[in-house]
Amino acid sequence: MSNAPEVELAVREAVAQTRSCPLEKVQITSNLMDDLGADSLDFLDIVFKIERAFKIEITRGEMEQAARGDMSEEEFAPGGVLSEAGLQRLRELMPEAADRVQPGLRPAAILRLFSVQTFVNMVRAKLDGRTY
Amino acid sequence: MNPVALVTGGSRGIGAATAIELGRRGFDVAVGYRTGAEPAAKIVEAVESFGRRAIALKCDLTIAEEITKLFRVLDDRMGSVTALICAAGVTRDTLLGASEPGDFETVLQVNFLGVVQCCREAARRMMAERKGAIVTVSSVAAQRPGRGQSNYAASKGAVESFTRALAVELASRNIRVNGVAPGVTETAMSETIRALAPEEVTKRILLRRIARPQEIAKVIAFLASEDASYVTGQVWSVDGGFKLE
Repeated sequence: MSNAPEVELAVREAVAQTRSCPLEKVQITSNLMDDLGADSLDFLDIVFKIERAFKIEITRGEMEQAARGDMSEEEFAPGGVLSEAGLQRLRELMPEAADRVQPGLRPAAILRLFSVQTFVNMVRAKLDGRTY
Repeated sequence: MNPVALVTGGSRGIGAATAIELGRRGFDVAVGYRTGAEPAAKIVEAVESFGRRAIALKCDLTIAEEITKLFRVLDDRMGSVTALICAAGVTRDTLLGASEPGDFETVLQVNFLGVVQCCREAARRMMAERKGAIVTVSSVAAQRPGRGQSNYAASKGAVESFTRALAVELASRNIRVNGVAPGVTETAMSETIRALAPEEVTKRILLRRIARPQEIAKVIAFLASEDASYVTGQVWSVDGGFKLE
């Protein structure tokens, strides 16, 4: 199911079920927290639904590693705030949220950047055997 | 569809009595066991006698991969778990100074980390369904331990704290998490202490007798059922009034 429209639809359905909202409200550009009101438990729920739907595994470690890439924690976020290199890495990783990746960002706030597109990208990378 | 319960440690003692009680209450039951294939098969028969589905599933709770597999098999054979009863447990009673590091590790692996891993798997499924009940089994030893129970008491204390914390985490998804802390019960696990000092033991219990596994099972099954729909984050002592006088 690495076909883009199918992945998009399945991810939107997982999000809609989790948030108990109509599918139409969940658009590819919708931000999970700000637009759809998701909390951290919802993220877990969405990830589990996606894992089941696509028979893949997305661990928290993988999500953190995905954000950092090859960078060490110290390079990525020295003193708990993302470095310029860390911000750049994030803009490349999440182009859909690039305008929100601003100096002063803390790693814990990265979740706030997640949109439906972010999950779609993650699933497609997994299905294609790429590192997200 | 009947609700589906998984009972770890379901082949003997309190776990076995709970599996049967859940069957009586209308649950389909998966009986988790590590070594007791034969007794597990008998519990399956007992549950089936109520007209419910039952299966026995072998699992070593010290191995995370086996727990993951256990839940996947349960998904395939019975559907998503509705109630999880963490009744598996081991003892390695020994004075701390005479104990080996392995004594603590084994007890914590099974009694605590096994519970954590089972709850992780169950919670993810229950979250998707927006309903579920988890019942952990602690022990009177968590609050009132005896000599030589440091590892067991520590593991059960951890289970009690974990139970309350998980209740906080999962309440918004309509998942209740409670625990039962049994007193001395007629099981193989308490055989040694009962044989060594039977009068000493009963003297400390207000009701002046030890519990039958069924008496603990009824409370566990109640907490797992919809009858306890407004109970969460609690650890109930079911100990006949242990050490209260």
